[in-house]
Amino acid sequence: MFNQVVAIITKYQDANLEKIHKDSHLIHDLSLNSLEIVEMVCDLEESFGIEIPDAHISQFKTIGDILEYLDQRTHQQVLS
Amino acid sequence: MNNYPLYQVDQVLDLREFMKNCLTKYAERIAFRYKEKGQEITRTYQDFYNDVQLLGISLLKLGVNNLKVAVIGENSYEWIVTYLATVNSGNVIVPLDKELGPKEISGILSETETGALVYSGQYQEIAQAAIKALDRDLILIETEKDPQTTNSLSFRQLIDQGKNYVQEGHPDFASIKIERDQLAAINYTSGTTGLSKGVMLTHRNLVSNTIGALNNVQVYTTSLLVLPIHHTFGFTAGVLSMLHDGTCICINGSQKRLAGDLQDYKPEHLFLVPLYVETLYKKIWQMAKSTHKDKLLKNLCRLSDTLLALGIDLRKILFRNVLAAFGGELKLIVCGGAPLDPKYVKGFRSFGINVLNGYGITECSPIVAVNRNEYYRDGSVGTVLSCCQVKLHNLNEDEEGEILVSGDCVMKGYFKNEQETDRAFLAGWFRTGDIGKLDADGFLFITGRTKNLIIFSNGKNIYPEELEMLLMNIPSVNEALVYAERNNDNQEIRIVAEVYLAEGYGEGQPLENIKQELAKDIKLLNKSLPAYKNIREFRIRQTEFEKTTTKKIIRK
Repeated sequence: MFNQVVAIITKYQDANLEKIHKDSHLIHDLSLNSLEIVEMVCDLEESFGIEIPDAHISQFKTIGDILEYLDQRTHQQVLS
Repeated sequence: MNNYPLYQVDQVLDLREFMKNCLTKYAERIAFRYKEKGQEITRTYQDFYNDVQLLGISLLKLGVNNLKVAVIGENSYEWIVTYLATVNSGNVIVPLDKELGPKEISGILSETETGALVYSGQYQEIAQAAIKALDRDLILIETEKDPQTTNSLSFRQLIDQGKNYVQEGHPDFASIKIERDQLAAINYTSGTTGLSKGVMLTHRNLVSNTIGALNNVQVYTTSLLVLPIHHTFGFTAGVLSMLHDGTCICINGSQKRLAGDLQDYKPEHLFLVPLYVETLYKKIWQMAKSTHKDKLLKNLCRLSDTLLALGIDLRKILFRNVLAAFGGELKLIVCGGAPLDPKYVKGFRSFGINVLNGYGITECSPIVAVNRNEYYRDGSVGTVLSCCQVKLHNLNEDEEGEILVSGDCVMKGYFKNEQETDRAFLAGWFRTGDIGKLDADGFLFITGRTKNLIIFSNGKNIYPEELEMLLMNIPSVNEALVYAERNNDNQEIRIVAEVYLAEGYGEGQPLENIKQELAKDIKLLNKSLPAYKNIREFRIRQTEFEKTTTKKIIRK
């Protein structure tokens, strides 16, 4: 999942793959702006087959936050 | 380029007259287009007027009379109806930033003694968490078709009930007297940690600014509402001015659907903040590059600019593909909220899209100046609106001074904060805290700031004092100073904190350990804040900060 998320993010910023880790901050470390984060969310929705409400986007501050969220959501989907 | 007479605009005194004028002039026209679960909905000016009236009557019947009504949610038709129903029933609207957390929301609800909270389904969880933190009940209204919670009323049912009340012969809310200088809205300027301020705007403030904006700028018939409407720029420019002009407002409910909405609605004009303008512009060039057409595009721009100088305008033909990405009809972007690099204005003009940069501040409802369709100057924020006057205070040798504003659009004051209100005015003139200069032709240029406010390109503001106060809550921190640093290309801002540790803290420990501990605390603090307020870097000082005689830290 980590690699999948990183692959999506690097579409928006030429970040150094090796330097991206769970604690990388989307705005501060990866230099994404709020519009790019929204676009990234669209890609995540497509890749993981889930809908991410706008109200949840503000939770995404680091890569770790995204992974945790996706983990929860995909797990919920399996259970339902 | 010479200035020309102001565009003619209907004069109204308050938002009640404003609604009546909309109905009289445009009843059959489409006022709103938006999507609900993928299905397109249209509402005429008549429908809109009715809904505002019916919700207003229901609010009054619920006992919401002379109270504050807060609203939180994505941009929506229901949000706009709530706003106008509230202010036209003699109540006061409190628009909430949807990025705020439950703690901050309950802080505002508590300070304003809000009587009702209206929220969308998406913000239901956050709204419920916020009211749990309050020690009192308030009326909850959910705008979703089928409310997900049992303790809230349904927005749609209230509208339906309103119809019954009208049939039963209850007087409509037009009988409630509205004074021109009556409070209409309280807009919070930043976070809510005690340092944020509730800007009190009256009916006079809002309608005068709406008219002033339309006096300067001529808009077209279809607009796409993109900016969040809890901000005054989004609401005054994107909603009130559009309605007053009889424009069709297409609502973009989510940034995720922006590209699709541009295609579906084909707007002729947009109101944006610089972040959008910059991103859209960069995207055009990225796309051209990825299809190896960047050189061609550059040459076409050169050719078009030359032809344009000779009075030949072929931009619609030459840049058909570029314009298609915006729906094909976009002619005008009005940009405000933060400084915009003139290179984007010039760049978009080459493609045939006029970008008019403006300047405003919430306290002025918010627009103070904007370039005009046929009278603009690159790098400037345009000419001052008819609803206000501007003068410069404490001029330096370059004829730059603090921008002071007076007139009908200037706020009543800060809610429950007399001290800050007094500080904000100088002999009746509002002190913007921005430094500017006026040229001989009346164009205003912004050159700096006196206040400590940090402004991002998406228009978001941060008071450094807010973060400093939070940092001081960390036990190891004795003093803190927060400021913004720009990166090398001057494009991005990062928030930096400098701290002086509490006496004796970490004595005997290696500095590396102390740093790690502090990093943990700051990470925790960042988690509780919206991402744009996160502290990116911190530095530990070995000495106390230099202070003024009143013991305030001297800022750089």
